[in-house]
Amino acid sequence: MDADLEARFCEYAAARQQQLLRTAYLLTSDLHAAQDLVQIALAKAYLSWGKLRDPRAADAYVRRIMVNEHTSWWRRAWRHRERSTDVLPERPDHDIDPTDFAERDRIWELVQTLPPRQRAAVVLRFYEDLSEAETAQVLSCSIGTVKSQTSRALATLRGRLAHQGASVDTIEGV
Amino acid sequence: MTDLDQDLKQSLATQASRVPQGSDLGRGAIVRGRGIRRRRRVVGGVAFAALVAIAVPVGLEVGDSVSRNDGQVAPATTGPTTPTEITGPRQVNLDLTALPLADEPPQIPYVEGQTVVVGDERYNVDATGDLKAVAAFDGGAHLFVSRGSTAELVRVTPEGSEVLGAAAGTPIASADLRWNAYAIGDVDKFGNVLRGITLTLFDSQDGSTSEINLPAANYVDIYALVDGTVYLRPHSSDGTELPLQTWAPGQEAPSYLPTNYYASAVSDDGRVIADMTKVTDFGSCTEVRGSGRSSLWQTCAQSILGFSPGAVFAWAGPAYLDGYSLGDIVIIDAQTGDVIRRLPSFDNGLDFMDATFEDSDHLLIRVEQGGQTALVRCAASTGQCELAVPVADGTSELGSPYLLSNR
Repeated sequence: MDADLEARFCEYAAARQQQLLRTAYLLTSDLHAAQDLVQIALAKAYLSWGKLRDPRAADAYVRRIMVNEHTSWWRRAWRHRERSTDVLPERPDHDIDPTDFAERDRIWELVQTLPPRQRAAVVLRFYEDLSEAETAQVLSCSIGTVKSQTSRALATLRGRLAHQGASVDTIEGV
Repeated sequence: MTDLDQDLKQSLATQASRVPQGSDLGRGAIVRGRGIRRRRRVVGGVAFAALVAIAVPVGLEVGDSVSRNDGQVAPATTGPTTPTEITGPRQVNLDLTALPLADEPPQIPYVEGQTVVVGDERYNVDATGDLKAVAAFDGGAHLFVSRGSTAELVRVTPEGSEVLGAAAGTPIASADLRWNAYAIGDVDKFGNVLRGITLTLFDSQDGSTSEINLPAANYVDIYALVDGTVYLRPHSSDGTELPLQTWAPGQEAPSYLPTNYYASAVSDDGRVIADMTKVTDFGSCTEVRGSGRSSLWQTCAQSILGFSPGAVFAWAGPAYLDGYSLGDIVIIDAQTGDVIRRLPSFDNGLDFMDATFEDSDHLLIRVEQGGQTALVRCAASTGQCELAVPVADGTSELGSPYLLSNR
């Protein structure tokens, strides 16, 4: 890759990494895992950077790699895929205080219990504000699957919230 | 927008806002990207694209060319029969809610819920975890069961189930169900399989096993079992992928074929192989080789994923495979490379998860639609499709109600 192209990749990474990191965190619940996920997505994007005809497509490309990298773990379990790299992700500039993430609301706690793909659908639809069609493109699935995954996730969240509410009521009523 | 929708948006935004500003990941990504590129070069730029998570950038197109090498095909000693007549539509649109239910269940082993069905025999899968793959044999089956980040190889028989070890490859069965091959290994504290796995050939006729150690490998892809000979490609944790090899009991080590082939599929008689000749971030090309390993045809549009018995037909997914499901699949004349059937996936609201040929004409496909799953039987020669099993609730993510046996 020539210097100019590499400089443009670095500009892109610097401009977008924070947003990507946020999405990755919502997918993984773990900051180090999120950094690893963003870095591997950027690494693959770097390999293809010279061929991206439309720079605006870069976001969709990187997001798709990131989400698929994360949600396809189950498939990787029984079909060999690319192995993890021996290059460790860079550490953040400062140590992370675990208490930064200790304060979690009830919904977030429940989001973390969703299966990977339902969770990805929820993050893409409700955090990234992607349309169903855009979400389907990222997840490599049909729009119908996005609809069913999202509605199933919402039903699960609704049911568990109601259950938690009932449990709290029961305890308080004792 | 409901209250839950709004609360969810708020919750996600709040959590995301707490992510601290990180150091520059771009430079690290470049270093990492170069590492990936180096490893790809090490293996000659060839990897099995179907097994590598590569996304296709928006706006890019993949060529749809199929080129043949007519006149270069060595005469086949036991050549496949050419399809007699191909009729029906080239594009086959499936809809699980509209397909008729066939009288005949799958004629090859499959899994229904927690039961492995092998002909008239049924074996209960007494294993906790997520059943991901199965290879049946006369009298039982070997299962690949996933539990979080680890996976176990489990043997089930009428007597019960037995965990054989950490799975280091997907088990596979020979077409006649006499043989199974599987691989197991030791794991580290994180559940990763360590180098030095054991490949085992199981003979269901007498229950005997033959083993070989693969000292550099921590995973092996097993492509075919031909009269007790295993076709395999070992992999190691540093990303090194080795070409196709064969091993039979009595051999001290697997043998390389005279030429390096990076196989993605091998016919059940070992005569025809799909050889991935090129893989880049934007394309992959496959050369299909017949008797004498002469080139039959090549394609840069599809990844060849399997052959029918006798290699009359092949089935294939896109040249790029990533994400949840395969995408559109096609059925190809294995001798000429002509695409005979094309089955659209996402455009029809479907996810194709897996497929295997039931016989020389029929492809069984595991299809998900609207949170449900079925095994669909499609005839290559006519394009007619039917449900081989009733549609059942559930999908792969939480445990598919059906699986096809590997062979």
